[in-house]
Amino acid sequence: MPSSRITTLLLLLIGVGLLLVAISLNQSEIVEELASKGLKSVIAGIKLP
Amino acid sequence: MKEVMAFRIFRLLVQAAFFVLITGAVLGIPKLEYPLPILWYGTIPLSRADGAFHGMLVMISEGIFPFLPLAVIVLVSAVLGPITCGWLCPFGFVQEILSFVQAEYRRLSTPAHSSFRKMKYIILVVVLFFSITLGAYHGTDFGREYYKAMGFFAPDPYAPLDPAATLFDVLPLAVFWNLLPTAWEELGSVDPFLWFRLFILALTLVLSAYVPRFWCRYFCPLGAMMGSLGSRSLLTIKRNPLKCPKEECRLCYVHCPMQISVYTEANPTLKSPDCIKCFQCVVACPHKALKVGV
Repeated sequence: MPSSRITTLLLLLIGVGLLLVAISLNQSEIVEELASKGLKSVIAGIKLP
Repeated sequence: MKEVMAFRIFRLLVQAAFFVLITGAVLGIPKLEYPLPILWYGTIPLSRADGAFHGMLVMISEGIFPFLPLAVIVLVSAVLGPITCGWLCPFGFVQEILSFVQAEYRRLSTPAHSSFRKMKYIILVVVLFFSITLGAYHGTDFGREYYKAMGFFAPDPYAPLDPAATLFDVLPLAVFWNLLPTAWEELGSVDPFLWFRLFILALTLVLSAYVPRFWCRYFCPLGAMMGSLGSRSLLTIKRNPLKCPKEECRLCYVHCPMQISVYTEANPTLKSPDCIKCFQCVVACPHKALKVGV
């Protein structure tokens, strides 16, 4: 098997592992909650009322 | 070449359709559960998606390991490569439209291009450094001081300088809340940092009209990350050296928005970390030496 395929397979395994942990930790909700915290950086330069 | 032009327009239509989907709150489109690997922040009320890169940086800065955003970025990169850059990213879409100003893609000199393309990796390292150190000291007294000292560069050190955030978040929100000056006298009351952001945005848009995908090529840290992870993706472009006349043709290079010398690729598969998988080189090749494969 060529080394590039081994790299890809490793990345796939890492990605699936990360996804499984993310699902078990219910991180999709955390991402949404933290989005409001990131607002300060995104809208730097304007002050929302 | 008519085929390449038709393909460019087809790709623009796909990008436009995707843009409608991720801003389709009024169409009743439900919000996506998983963040997308595109330069997107999703702060406007119309948005139906979150950006994985932004989510990743905010989570790291808050001391949380970003399993989900990282999984999305790694999986998409490993399977498809940075295809989201070429086909879905809204800021890439804007730059693609602007590239139609020129009849043909303009090129930077090879030394300039090689030097500038390192910028995106430097930006990625700097941004990750600040996010990781913010996260490492999260919850401590020093961490609170550090967070405060970073100002609006915490929790996302990249967003305040990102022209995509200025275009898709700051400007729509400023218009919605009527925050932009309506008279000359009010210009002085505008935050100097907003002027700076508008300057970066204007400069990027002007340069994108002359150098295709200017921001993606030289300044996008997400592109740098996905390109590095996805240079050996399952979906790839294969070159048949027996069919390719190399220097005599060079049409793949001429039609590549990322200025990649596809015809000089030594490997049978294209492994450039700059490739955004737009497949314009495949369409442009008159010798059928390039094909999309796994």
